[in-house]
This record gives sequence, C-alpha cells and structure tokens, in this order.
Amino acid sequence: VIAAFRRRYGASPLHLAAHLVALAIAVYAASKVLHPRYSRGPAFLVWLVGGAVVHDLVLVPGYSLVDALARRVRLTPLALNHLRFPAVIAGVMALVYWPLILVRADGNYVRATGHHVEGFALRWLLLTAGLFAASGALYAARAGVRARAARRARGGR
Amino acid sequence: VRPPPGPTRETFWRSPLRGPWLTAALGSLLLPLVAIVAVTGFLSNAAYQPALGANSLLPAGGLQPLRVAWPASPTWLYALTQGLHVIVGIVAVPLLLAKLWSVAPRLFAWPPLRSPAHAVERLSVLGLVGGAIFEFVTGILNVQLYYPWHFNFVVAHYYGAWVFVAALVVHVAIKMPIVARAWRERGALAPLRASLHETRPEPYEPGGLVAPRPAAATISRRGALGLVGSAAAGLFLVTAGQSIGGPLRRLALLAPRGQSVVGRGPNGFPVNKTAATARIDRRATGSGWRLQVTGTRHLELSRAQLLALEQHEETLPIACVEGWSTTQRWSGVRLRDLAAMAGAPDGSRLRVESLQAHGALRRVTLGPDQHASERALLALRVNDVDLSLDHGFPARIVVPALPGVHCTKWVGSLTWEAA
Repeated sequence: VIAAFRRRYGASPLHLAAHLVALAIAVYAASKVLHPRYSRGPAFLVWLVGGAVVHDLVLVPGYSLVDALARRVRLTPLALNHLRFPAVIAGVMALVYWPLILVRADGNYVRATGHHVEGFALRWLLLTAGLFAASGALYAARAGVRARAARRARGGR
Repeated sequence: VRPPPGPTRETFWRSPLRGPWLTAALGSLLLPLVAIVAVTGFLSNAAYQPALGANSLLPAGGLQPLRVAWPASPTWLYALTQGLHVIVGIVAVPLLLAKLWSVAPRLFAWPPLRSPAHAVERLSVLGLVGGAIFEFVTGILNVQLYYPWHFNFVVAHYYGAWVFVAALVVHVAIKMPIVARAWRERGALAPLRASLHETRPEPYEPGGLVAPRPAAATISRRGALGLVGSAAAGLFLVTAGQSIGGPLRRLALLAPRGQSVVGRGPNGFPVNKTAATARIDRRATGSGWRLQVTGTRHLELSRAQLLALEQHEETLPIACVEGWSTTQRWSGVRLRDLAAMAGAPDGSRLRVESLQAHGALRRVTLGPDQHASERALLALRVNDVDLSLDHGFPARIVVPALPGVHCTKWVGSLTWEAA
C-alpha cells in the first residue's frame, strides 16, 4: 500500500502528514489575522505572498543585474570584491533602515520619541563613503604588494 | 520536456558557488539565529502576561502555548530577550538573503509541478519564504515606527510567525538528509579552505542547485561567506548599541533609538511615548494629583505624602519591545509597601491605570511575582531629580524584567485585586 502511495504521491505518507499539519497551522494562524478587526480585507495575505514575490522577482534580479554589470567591466577579482564588500555592507544597511534614512514616518517618530527623524541619511552616506574609502585603501595596499611580488618574481628569473 | 528559455533553463544560472554544500552551510548558520528570534518572540508575548486582566494584545484562541508567570529577576531578563529578538533578527537579514539567493533556481524549476508531493512542498515553501520575509519586514519596519499596511502589527507579526515556524520545521526535517549528505561528501568546513583559484563548482546533478555551465569563479566560498558575515557584522555595529549601551551606543548610528534620541541631563534618556502624544493634561499632574490606592482599604496620596514614605533607590533597565533599553537610577516607594498600606491580600494582582485617557496600554495588570518584588517601585524621581513629564511625572511604575510599555507612566490609580 505504501509503495503504491509513494508511486502516486511522489513521497512517503509521512511527508504528506507533516505538510498537512503545517498547512493546518498556517490556515488557522491566517484566519486569526484575517478577522476584520485585525486586517482590512486580505491585506495580511497580500503582504505574506507579496513579500516573497517582490524579493524573488525584483530584489534578486536587481542585485544580480548590478553584479553582472560590475563583472562586465572586466576588473580583476580582487578589485571586483573590493567593490562588492562595501556595496553589500552599505546595501543591506539601506535595505534594513530605509524608512529612517528616507524619513518615512517622522510623525510617528516625533510622537514616540519627542525628536524628529534627523541625520540618518547623512550618517548612512558617511558610512557608505567610509566603507568604500577603506576598501579602496586596502585594495591599493594589496594590489601594491601583489605588483611588488610580481616584479620580484620577474627579477629573480 | 524542454523548458521555455529564461530562468526555467538550468543553463540560465551561471554562479559556480551554488550547490548543496553552500546552501547547507548558509542554512545551518541561519537556523540558530531564526530559532533565537522565534523563541524570544514567543517569550515576549509571555512577558506581557496575556492571561492577566486586559493585558493580551492578541485575540483569544489557540497557538499561544507559552503561559509562564513572567519573573521579576534577573532585572535584565526582558532587555536580554527582546534585545536578542531585535538585534539577531536584523543581523540575520544578510544570511536570509544569501540563503534565498543560493536556492533561487528552485523557484523556476521545470516542470513547475512534478508530482503531488512536489506541489505540496512548493505550497509549503511559499509559507516558508513568504512567512520569513513577512516576519522580517514587519518586525524591521515596526522598530522604525513605519506602518504602511492595513493590518494590526502585533496580531499579524505573532500569527505570521506561526505560518513561518510551521513551514520551517517541516522544511528542516525534509532537508536534513541533504545537509548531512553535503557534509559527508564535501566535508563540513573543507570547501572553506579553497582559495579563489582552487574554487570549483560542486558536482553537477540534473535538477539540483549546481549550474551545468558555470562561469569562472570571481569569489571563493569563504569569500562569499565572509561577505555575508561582514554585512551581518556591519548591521550589528550600527544597531546593537541601542540595547547593549556602553561604548557601543555611540556606534548605533542607524538604530532607531541610537544616539539621535538621547537628550541632556538626568532625564535625557529615550521614551516610547511623549506626554503630548498620550494627551496628558498638565493640570491633572499638578498639585491636585492624588494617587488612588485600593486594596481592602482605599487611600488617596499626594506626591508630597508619597515622598514622605520610605524611599528606595534601584538601578533598573527600561526595555522596550522595539529592542532598545536604557538603565537608570530610579527612586520612589516600593509597591509592596503601598500594598501593605492598602491592606492588599497576599497573591493579589495589581491593576495599574494611567492618567492617559486612551490607548491599549493605559491599563495593565501585574502578577504577584512582579509587583511584590523587593525592587518593584512606584518611581517618583530618576537620577536624583523629579521625573520629567515625558518620563511619567508625577509617578511611574518601574518593575524589574517587565516590558517597558507595562512600566506605566502618569500613574493615576493602583488597585490590588484578588486573583
């Protein structure tokens, strides 16, 4: 019986049972949020599915394209990675903190803290500039070391 | 069946790093972080003591298994659990992104549905990825006080976690053999030894993660993991100081309650709500203010009378659900002394009401473990000066290990009720 089930379903009965339990929990959880008191229409489901869609169809292709363009410049891997590190570090900071950087909720912030949203954009820009500058300086030092090593190797030949 | 051109074809994917070992490594790093965030999240709900009074912010019903009496010691308990929840959640973002990048080709797998089992698994992955992104996005926007949605944040973030966790448990159980096989065949750490020039793709298997026509490597596996780790470390440095304090606070350059909300003077530490927002009428807090104290007896105490009682000083943190915390030196009357004056029976609950006229948290109920603690105060002063109006003048609750929003400000009445 189990072998026949496997053939038709494509995995063991346990696989189906585990997924059904998870699905039941998810449906129950979603039903709690979808109560009109807590969610306007299907807003919760739209965000639940929409986040995955935006990530998979906008964010991933977006940063993949930027990386592909950078690779097309035909930099050495060392130079490319000295661009990737500051870009990725500053990039995820922006991805996490864009509402503060772009001042999306000043009203709420004033009501909560008594202060306006101030200085986040400047601090992020300075951090980004500092990261690129530090990475660039490190690259210059490492490239210099490599070039000297290459010259010595040629001279010794 | 030949898939249509584009990402559904395996040859579309060129990265030489994608493969079961890399995904196993990223998943194994991400899993403990997600476990910390999930456990501390459920603990935070327990810390609100939802079974007491009107404390619960969630609808009655299932999926609220943690019903512990939240203790009042150690004093830093909630600062720790909620600081971890927010810091680890933010630090895990680069790992989550890398993990999802590493399996991106699976989204476009062709044919889209191979078998009923595959269909069920894909539905479950929608819950997994959708739930994960939903939890991270809503949590991260919440700490920045940005609510561009039309649902209740607390309810959606709590039950969204169940969608995510349920799918994650099944996912981990199903993928464990693949992780074990990748470690057995490649070694758990061996691929990290390869420099860029020694970096080769993992062996190709049809329908797997490895590209059949990979490009030349431009970064080693350890370089890629270092990139993810650097991004996580960067987020830690610009965030953690708002919870940990000390020298790290100066580095919390992007944290919502980093240095930009720190004012001058003894009252210069952050608040979660100003008196203006709570619409506290200055006249109600002036010389006419009387604290209503009720146990088996009813008392009305002016601020001068409260200051004439035995004063206690405690250095305690206020720890916010949004992850920031601030430790200050408070002084005032012990709640247990007021309970004795009012003749409150042992084991009773304490209902605290604020002068604030509106808002879900204007009234909270504390359990006996919390209000009877030796260090639980009705604070009148902080750092040797009177509380400022924004910090709760004329009097506020400060109880060790209690979530910040339950440390009620502008206290109007204290009522001990039999459980």
